Amino acid sequence: MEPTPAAETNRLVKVYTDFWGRPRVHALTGLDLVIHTGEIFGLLGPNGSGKTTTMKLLLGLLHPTRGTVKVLGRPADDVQKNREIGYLPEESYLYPFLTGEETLRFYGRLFGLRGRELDRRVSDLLDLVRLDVRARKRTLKEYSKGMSRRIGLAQALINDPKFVLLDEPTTGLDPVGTREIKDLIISMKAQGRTVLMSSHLLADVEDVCDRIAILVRGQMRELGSVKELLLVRDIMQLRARNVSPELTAAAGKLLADSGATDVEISHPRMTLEELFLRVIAEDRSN
Amino acid sequence: MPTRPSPQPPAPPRPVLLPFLRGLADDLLHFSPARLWTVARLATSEALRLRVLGLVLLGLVAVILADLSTRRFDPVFDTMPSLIHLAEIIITVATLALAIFLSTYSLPRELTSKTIFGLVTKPVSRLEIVGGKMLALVVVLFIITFSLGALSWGYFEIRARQIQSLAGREWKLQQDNENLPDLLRREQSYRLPTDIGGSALQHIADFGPLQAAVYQTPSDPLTVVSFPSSTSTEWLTGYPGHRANWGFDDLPVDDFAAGKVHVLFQVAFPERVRQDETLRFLGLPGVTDTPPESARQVEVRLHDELSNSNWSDTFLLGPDGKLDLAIPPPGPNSRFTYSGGRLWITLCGAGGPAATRLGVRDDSCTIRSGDHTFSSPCGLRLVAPFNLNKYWVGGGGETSLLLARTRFPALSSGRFGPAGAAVQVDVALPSATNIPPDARVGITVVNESSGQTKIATFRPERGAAALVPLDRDFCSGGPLAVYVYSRSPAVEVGLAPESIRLLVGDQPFFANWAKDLAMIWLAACAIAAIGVALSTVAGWQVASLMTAVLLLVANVWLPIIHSVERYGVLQSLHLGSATSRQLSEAYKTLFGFLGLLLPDMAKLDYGNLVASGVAAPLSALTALPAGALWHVALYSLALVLLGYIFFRLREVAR
Repeated sequence: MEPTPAAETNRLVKVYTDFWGRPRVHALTGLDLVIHTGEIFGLLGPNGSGKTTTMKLLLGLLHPTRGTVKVLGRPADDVQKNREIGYLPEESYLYPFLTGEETLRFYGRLFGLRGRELDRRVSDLLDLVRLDVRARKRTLKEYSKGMSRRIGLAQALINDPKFVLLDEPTTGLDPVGTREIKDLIISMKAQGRTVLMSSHLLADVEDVCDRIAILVRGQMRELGSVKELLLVRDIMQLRARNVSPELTAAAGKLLADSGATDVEISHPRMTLEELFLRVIAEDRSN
Repeated sequence: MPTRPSPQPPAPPRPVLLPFLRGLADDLLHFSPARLWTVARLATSEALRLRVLGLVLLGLVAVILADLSTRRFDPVFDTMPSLIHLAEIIITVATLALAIFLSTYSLPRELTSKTIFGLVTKPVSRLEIVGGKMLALVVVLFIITFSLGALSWGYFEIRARQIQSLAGREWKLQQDNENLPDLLRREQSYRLPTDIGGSALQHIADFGPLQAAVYQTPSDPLTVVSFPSSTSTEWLTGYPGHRANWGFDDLPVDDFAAGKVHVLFQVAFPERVRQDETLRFLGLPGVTDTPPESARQVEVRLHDELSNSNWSDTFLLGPDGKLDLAIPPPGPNSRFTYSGGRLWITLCGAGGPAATRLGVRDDSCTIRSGDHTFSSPCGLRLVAPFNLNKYWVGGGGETSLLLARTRFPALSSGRFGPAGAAVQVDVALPSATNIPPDARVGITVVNESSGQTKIATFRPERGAAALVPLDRDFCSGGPLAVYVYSRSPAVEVGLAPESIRLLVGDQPFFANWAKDLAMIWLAACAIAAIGVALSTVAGWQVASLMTAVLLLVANVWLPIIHSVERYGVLQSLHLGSATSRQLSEAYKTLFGFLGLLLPDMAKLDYGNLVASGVAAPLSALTALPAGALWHVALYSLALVLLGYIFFRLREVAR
């Protein structure tokens, strides 16, 4: 028997209407999606492709026009499913008059956490998202965007959820923070959680996701594992160290003579993120 | 391998009703008071961070300014009632305005700032969110109302000390001046039970002005008795306790057995049938020349004193006010038998208080048996509450006419002060007539257990109540019956439900003030419930405007809505067809529903009584709060549930 998927949509349609009920925007047009337990799933797509709508439908913030949505085997509008999910919205919509600690305590109480258990959980999460003691006592209106994202992520994890939905989780974070969040997401998978994330930052998705779906104008255009989707099957790449210019020229000639086209032999490039992280790491070690 | 999904046929439309009902049941099943309180605590702290507590200080400044800028005719007697009334108005306005603002602001703000995402993605039902918002409002409004009330109370105390000192000076002046005008003496003639024998001025000088009279609640409501003559017409109002009686003696028993006896009623209707006072006052279509069916419904009761046989049924009077009724009434269920004793025939309206206006006289009820016609004097009994402010009785030319009676339960000795208790009788006098010098009203108080009787006679005067002091021995041990008689032939006096009272002591005014604040708080809670329900479907601007309009309607127009429900335009058209009757029923249902949507603010109107209850005993404060509490609690609960249903159907993200 197959395990219950973390989320499942069946011919999901969402049409936004105006005040009089007339259809205005067809956000999703028959989306079929299955997110397996324990994977990190990425939703990609340009603006207006339906990523956030899909996420809101999974959370029960929106009602589907047609089709069905199930999360952890329950209907999306079932409040009880929320016991096992965590959600980080695209912006941290939190109460600006509460401090970081009060925010986590408030959300913790909604899950029935009390006393020492709540204290321990709040303290652990604040450590996890690296909010220092001073920041914990400040109201959220004084937080920078990065700090707001961190406290937002902490509130999404307050209930130790099985399924975490992250909408643009690295927005507003510096590269170090981005890396930390990505590491955190990968560690979530190691702990057996399911993660659904949507992002514009393709590098983020590429780094952490097992599978991705690409949505365009409310329809799924691609679905599969990252490795398979990114594999360019009609191009070969050779990598080697200590290659002399003569050998490079000879290899190029050999390839051209044997019928290969668009031959290009050059040095590999690191990503900008890798460069930035290396500089920061060197700075810290010095 | 990556997959490219192929297009699928469209899914069927999403079912709405069943998932909604399932969700509703689920929300009720998993309702958690702890989560409700968590949401409420956050909303409370959000409201308090909006600096609403500043309103408390602002309100106090307004009370002080209003007090200082108000001129009084008599500083000793007028200051505290008017100050209390001003403070009550200021607190009411501030609290209601705050209730409208906060109730319509909180939820829409959560939606616009999207903090609602953090709530609805947690295991918090929409019921807990809406309920939590309401609970927070209840708490915040309580804090505001009672903080402002407590500060105002402090100011009252300061002013009360000034007035006490002023009263002391005036009392000394009055003692020294034997030529004080009678009018002034009369104005100050209220005596309080702990201090029977002294005047109100002395009482204020001794105890201060912040004392409230305490009354014993009667065990029987006030019954006003009236005897119309053969020429004048008395009007039955349709309250259950308001009925006309005719007693017949020496009726032929054999004719009863032979079924030859008929009772004939001839009742008058007003020239233009009064359908509703408010509508008539406003000049709206509320009156008609032809009495509608509801105005013609009557209940007839028969009682044979000798056999103790009873019978009653409802009938419809003819449009001319006539009814011919054969007795014993035909039908298998009729068990009435006449055995020759006095036959009492009672008539009362059955169309409801607002519908009935039946004019009766002595000759409105006659009995015909063969060729003989029997008639009898008519007696009217009117049990409070009645729909008129006062009921005018007496003046029938008799010198010992029972006008009213009431009864109070036995008092324990701890219930009244060392001076005993006092019966207070406060009758009204027609404003346009001079009071004859020989006008007298008699009061008889009977201790029904010991049989002791106390009789007093007084000359009715405007603005002065008569007090019959009762010492401790007289009061103890048994229920007290109080009778009021007319002792002069030409004077007609007005009686209201609170005309006969038993004063048993006075207590610090604080209790009444607290009750008044509780009423203001409850009214604000009812308005907040409207605001919360509306804020689940509309933005805060629209919701606050609608709440303010509904507050106005609840205060001013609810009686009109009830009137239209009862006597709508369609009823006055008197369309005969079945369709128009159905239309009329639908119309009544609609207006009945509209009436249900609004809180009955009359139940919470308490201020006048409290302000009057300072020194002049007029408060009827004992029974109100519990009823009001239930009314507001049930109303608020209903609206919270309505708001929850709206909110459950609503998408919180677009």
